[in-house]
Amino acid sequence: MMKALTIERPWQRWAIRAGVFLAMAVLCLPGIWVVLSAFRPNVEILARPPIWIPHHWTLGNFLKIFGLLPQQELGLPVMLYFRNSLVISVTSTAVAIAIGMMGGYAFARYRFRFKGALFLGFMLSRTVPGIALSLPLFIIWSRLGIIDTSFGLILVYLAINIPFTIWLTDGFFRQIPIDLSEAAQIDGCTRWQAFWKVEFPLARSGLASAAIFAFLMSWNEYALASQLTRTTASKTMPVGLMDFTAQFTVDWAGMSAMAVLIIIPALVLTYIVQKHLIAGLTFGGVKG
Amino acid sequence: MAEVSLDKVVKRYGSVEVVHGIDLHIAHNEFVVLVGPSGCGKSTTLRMIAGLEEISGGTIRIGEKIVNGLPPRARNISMVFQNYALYPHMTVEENLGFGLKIAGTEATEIRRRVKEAALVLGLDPYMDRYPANLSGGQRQRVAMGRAIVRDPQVFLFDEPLSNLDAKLRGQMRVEIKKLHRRVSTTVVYVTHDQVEAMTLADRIVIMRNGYIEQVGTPTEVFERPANTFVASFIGSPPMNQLEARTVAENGALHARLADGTTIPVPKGFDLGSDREIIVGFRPEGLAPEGHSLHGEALTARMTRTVDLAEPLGTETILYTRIGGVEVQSRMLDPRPVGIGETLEFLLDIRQLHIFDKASGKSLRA
Repeated sequence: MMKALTIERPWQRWAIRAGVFLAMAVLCLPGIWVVLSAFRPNVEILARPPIWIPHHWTLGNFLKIFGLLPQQELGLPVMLYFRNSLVISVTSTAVAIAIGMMGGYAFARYRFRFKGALFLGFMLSRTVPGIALSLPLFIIWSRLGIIDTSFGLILVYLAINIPFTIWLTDGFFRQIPIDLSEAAQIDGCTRWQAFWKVEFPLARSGLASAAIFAFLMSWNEYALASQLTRTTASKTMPVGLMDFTAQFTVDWAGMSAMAVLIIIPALVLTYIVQKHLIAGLTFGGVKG
Repeated sequence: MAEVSLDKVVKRYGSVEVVHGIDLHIAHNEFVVLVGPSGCGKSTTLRMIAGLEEISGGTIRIGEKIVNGLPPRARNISMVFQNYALYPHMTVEENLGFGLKIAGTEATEIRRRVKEAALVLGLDPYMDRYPANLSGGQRQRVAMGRAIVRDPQVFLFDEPLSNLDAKLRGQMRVEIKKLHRRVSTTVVYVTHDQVEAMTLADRIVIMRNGYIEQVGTPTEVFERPANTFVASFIGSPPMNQLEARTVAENGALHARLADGTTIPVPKGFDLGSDREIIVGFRPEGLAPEGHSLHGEALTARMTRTVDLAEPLGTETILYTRIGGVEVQSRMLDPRPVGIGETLEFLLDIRQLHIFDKASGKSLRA
């Protein structure tokens, strides 16, 4: 293996780079296209042959969806959608992490009946496609009177996020040697203190990644949200995207601008949290 | 005063009993070492004293208090773990002071006591480092420092040296012994290494399969092992053990080995004729002529061929056979010995141990 690496020729290196570039281009192109489209008029988007680099850069699409263009009387309720998305995602993430973390800890540290079956059950719940649940959910939610409410959607996202968080944090807590908790208890901690002061700080990177996954899931979810929300009372950003489709036309430029607005918070969050994702924090506490 | 008493302590995991009602009384300031092969229940016993394992029966007392149901934090103990169990996200200083901080000690007092412990253990230059940036020996010292800072009633050590290399292990052994002299606290120390047990302990507790086989000072368990297990576990190289049958010859009792060799049996054993026994002697009890420290009175003489020689510098371990069984002999003040060389060996009769073959128990009267 090592030998094969050391005799790599310059042309091979360039071939690899070209291959990587191609693969990345294929992966990134749709995203780039959306971002570029957000900054150009609709006519350019529909032009044939396609115009890759916008000829007329404009912020008009953004102004329009906020209703800020002079000749325009009404924009879309983007701020409401944004608020809904934020409330729903943040709440469901926070609750899912709080509950999921405790569940994960229990699975990692305690022995109890039906543990294996329960864990498998949580995992299996993830195999059901969300859309298959949308009709029963719709019926139950409407009976309960929580259709078209943030609460209803938060409940659904919790059901999806908690098992996943349990599964993820279980793995992280397992990596922390149990001796650390025992040492803390001998040092005078209650079990709860040992958790908060020793195990929780060490699992922080794992919890951060679990939180990102939960947040992105809630932030981007479309299928269920589109069924369970109706009005600005609870519509989220991804559902709001459909406001740009009229009976015969689609406002691709507006939709792209909105898509950019959806992407930005997710990107910012991931960027902020990424430094916590660096693993290896537990190294050195026990024999290295 | 912190005595530790175990009274008929039992540990069960489900239906499997791993510690079978052991009794042990540890005096104030005593250094007691629990030793035995893996799975003998020594670590479980220690963890029951610590409160990390619930006990399934019996009572444990620390000082005057029965601690059966008390959590570890209420027992006023500290423990050094095999893998150190330092908090990776805290500096050495924070690791040392953690217990005091939890107890609500004043910051200035914490600093004073941490500083004191750091000086004792030579950790002063590393106070701002994280455990990941320490060597094995330094981590071990931090773990010990964390234990002494809190000034507990009882120190518990769970195989603290087994992750260190041989040289460091020797150094740390000396440091632990010095530390015990300085802080004078009751110590319960678990190890599978009989050298550690012999060198550190005031008393050794030898365990096997959840039972205590023998309790005694290092000299007692070495010189008067209660059974064949203790005899083979304590001492390195281990005691040679040969199956034999007692016979009366010329009015004196002898042990006849499988190949017909007879060895006179010393006095002081509860023995009759025609009994199945095991004869034990340590490698230093069998030496080539001229290389024995014990003089040559009361010895049995035999000519044997050397199968293997292990030169160790100050001594050479010789392998030969008696009664068809491989035995080891310690040759002091050695000269080079070739494999296949025939030597006159002297067996010191006064140092023989006689055990009952069926039960393995010592027949010493």
